[in-house]
Amino acid sequence: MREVKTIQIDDFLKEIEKRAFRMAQMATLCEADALDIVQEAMIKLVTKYGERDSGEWRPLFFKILENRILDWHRKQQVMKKLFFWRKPNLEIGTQDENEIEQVDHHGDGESQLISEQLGERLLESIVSLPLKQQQCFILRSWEGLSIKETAAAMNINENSVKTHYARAIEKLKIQQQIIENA
Amino acid sequence: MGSVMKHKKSKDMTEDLISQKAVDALDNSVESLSPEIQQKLSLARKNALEHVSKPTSSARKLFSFLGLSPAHFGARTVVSALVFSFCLVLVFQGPLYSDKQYIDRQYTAGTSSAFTNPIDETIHTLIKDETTATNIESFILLSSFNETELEVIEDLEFAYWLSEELSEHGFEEFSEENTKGDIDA
Repeated sequence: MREVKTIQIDDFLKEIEKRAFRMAQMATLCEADALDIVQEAMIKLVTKYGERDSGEWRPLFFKILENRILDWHRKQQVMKKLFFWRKPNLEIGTQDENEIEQVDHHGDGESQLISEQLGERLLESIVSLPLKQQQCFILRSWEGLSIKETAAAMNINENSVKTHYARAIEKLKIQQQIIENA
Repeated sequence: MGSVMKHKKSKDMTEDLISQKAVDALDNSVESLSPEIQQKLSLARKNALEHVSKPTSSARKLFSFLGLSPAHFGARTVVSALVFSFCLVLVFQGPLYSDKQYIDRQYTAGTSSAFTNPIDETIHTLIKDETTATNIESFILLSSFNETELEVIEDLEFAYWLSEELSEHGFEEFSEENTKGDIDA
């Protein structure tokens, strides 16, 4: 019985891990911290909710992940106040530039290159969104969580989810128009 | 009314388009994750899954509640803890209770109330009673000596008591006290 559960949870984590990492990376802008957050979320899911029905895992996992990301931000705020003279370490910015360069080198056709670059820009736009809007957009659009599930994962009410999502879409639309015009 | 509906429909379509583009971009970004990160993620997953294979007994729950791990309680650790506790007892209690001079000093400094701790007082009484008749009696009762040997022991005990009394009070004072005691009696 336990083995079956282990296989199920392994499959679930395998399916979700990359997206969870990307989500944490966009929220933290730090690869190492994102990895830590994902690992902590995995461990908590396994230890606390591993015995639950597999259908409950997805919203629970994202709730844990959201909480971890929020904790990380709170910690960063405190650190920023304590060590105000330090400059923030933004890994993702440099990494994205590298990825864009890779796309430049490995692109097959011009149209594909343009669409990939547009995708990269869109990603940058998502990264630049305020945290709540970003998380709300990712959970709703990418993870396909319902408004209710998103609200539960983010510890906010359903109306706030709608507001954050609408604002995120509005900002992305503006960014997209700027990109396309440029 | 119709134009409002049309506007709403076009707005929804734009939202869907943006959303779809973003999802595609996110999917592509996931596919382009470096093998190093993928390896780290699978390692993290395996690490997490190790927690599910371990059964949680009530003892383990108690340990985790106390922030301890059962791995901390190996034979070597238990022995070390016992030795450490014994050393602590020797360091803190030993000089106080085994040093008879210290106890006597404390006792003679005032009355028995000089002991702030009742345990100190009890231990002092026990040590003091070593030479009393009660202990000798119990010693005799528990021993397997014959009558002659017991008489010798009693005589020795009496001689020891007498010599102590003489050395403390002097012969004259001792004899006066005993005489007074006899008269009072």
